[in-house]
Amino acid sequence: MPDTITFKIKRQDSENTKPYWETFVIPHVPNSNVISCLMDIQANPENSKGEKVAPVVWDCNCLEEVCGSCTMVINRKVRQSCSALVDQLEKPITLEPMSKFPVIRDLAVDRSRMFGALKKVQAWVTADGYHDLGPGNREPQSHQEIAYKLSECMTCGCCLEACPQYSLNNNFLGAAAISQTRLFNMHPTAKNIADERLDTLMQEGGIADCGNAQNCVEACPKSIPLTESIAEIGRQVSGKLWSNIFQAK
Amino acid sequence: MSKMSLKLADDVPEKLFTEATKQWQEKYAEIKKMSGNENPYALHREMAEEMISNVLIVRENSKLKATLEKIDEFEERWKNINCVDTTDWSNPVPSFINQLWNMIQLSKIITKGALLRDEFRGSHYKPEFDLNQPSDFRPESYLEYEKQKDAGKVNEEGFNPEHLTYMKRFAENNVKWLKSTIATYQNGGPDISYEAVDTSLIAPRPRKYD
Amino acid sequence: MDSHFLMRRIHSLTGVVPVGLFLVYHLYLQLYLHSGAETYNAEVNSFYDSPLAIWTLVIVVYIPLFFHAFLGVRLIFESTVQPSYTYFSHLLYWLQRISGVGVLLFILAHVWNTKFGPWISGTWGTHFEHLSSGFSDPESGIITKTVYLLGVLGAVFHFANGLNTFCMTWGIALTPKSQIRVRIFSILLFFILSASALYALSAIW
Repeated sequence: MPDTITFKIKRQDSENTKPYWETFVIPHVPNSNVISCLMDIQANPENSKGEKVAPVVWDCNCLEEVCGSCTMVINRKVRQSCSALVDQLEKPITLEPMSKFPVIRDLAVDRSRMFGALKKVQAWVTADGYHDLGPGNREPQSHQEIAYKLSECMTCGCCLEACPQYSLNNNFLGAAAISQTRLFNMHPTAKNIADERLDTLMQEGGIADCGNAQNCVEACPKSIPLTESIAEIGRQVSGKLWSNIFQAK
Repeated sequence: MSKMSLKLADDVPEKLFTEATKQWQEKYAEIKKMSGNENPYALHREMAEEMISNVLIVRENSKLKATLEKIDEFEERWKNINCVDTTDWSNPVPSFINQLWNMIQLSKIITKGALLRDEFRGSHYKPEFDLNQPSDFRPESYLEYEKQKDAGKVNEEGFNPEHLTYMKRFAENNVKWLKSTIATYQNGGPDISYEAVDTSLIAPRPRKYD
Repeated sequence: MDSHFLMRRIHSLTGVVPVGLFLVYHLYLQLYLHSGAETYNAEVNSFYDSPLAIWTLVIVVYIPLFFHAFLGVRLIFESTVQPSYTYFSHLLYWLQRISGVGVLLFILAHVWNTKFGPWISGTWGTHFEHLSSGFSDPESGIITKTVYLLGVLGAVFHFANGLNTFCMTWGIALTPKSQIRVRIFSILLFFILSASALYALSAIW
């Protein structure tokens, strides 16, 4: 075991400045993860040249791979830094911000496009109103099993970072939003507006922009069957395409 | 229906917002000027280690006392912090330094509250004040004991003498300590007082820890 | 539903019907290469004898084909190159795009070589002789053979893998299990069509 670990971190001081690489050498602590190492750098923010620098900025919250906020590109692959155990990573460890979202600073990115996508597909249960609507319809067990898995999505961005069709320059909604559409379109109450969701996905940036690279399903840290969701929504929009043509209003 | 006392943001005098903004801007400007030689994150880590080692589940008064002194040292050292990043864009350091001060105050409250409480309850354990619950004691028998006490006469013969002694100790301890700890900020530190707990709906009873 | 969605769906559809089906028919026709020059030429010419032949080709093959190709080439520019994600499907994704461009160039050369070239030079009708002489040319023969080999295998790959994507896009293969089945089918299809194409080519190799 080496007593130090080398981190190569792609840093960026602000939204509009150029990124640069900085190397940090920190003492090796067994069982550490990438975030605990970033915290070590915070406690002694000195690069490998011995210069005092500003501590690296990143986002994190839950530290147990359920919130998605610490997602970054570690050794060229996107994943959560909280669950990236240093002893299992190839050294030196490279850290980069996700490339598909605007960088705010260093490893922190602005993921609001993802949440915007959820708004566009209305990824919620539609039960608005002040009057008592009574109990909702019951969800069958067979649905629950699928829905539970889909509901594990934490909007982390791994599927979008790995997707060759998703880029800063287009408006693709991406696998996460498509999968959430499937979740809410099968919900006994939320499916009331299933058609509206499909309408959104049948526009530019919708499901037609999927290129079937299937990186999303490989990159998903929660093993959500994203390609199954894409195929299912593909089936739903195929049906809607049919009715748009032959039952045109 | 009475007139609703609904207060909107627009009803609040503008001065309140401008003053609050000014207060925080000044505070952050002060923090950014801090140029001592303590790294705030290293100091935080040191304090966390101190708290985890001494103010966790098992607590001893001597260690709590020593920790309280240590926290005072951290408070002094906080004043010698170096704001390691003074830039203006998405900089988490000044707010962390501000939070660290509050963490120090909260650590004092936790430690002092624990030190002054010569007993333990909930998820904590103070070996010095163990009430020595007999291993074959069942918490339900305490409810029977309480019932008889409330009725005016306890049939002492009906209880295992060892259990009875324990239950008396437990009742006595509750008289003294079944209270919420209240901390008020006085003279740069917490002042501890106590407030009775409402037990009118569920009578307190011993827990078994095995 | 907007035109963007519709265009993508037409793109997906044209790849299979009619272009993909035409490819299968076209490869079948080439098996006649083994029956000798006379039969082969007769088979091919019999198609062109129909008064609708040229219209059929334009409407059923050329328009869908070039629509598919035009949109496909535009699609490539929207992709991001990400070599660190070394997954099989991702490899197929890029092979699909690369083979698409390759096959487009091959088709342009192929149509020039077998249609416009003979028309202009007035040797139309002797398809077999035209092909085999091109293949056996001492200087350019090896290039022609290589181009045909890559072109034909590329086209077969593009069709077989495209069929797999088609089943995803239209929601035909829903579950991972059925997606694997479709993938196995498309791999088998690739080998069967490749074998057929290579066997046909062997007649004039």
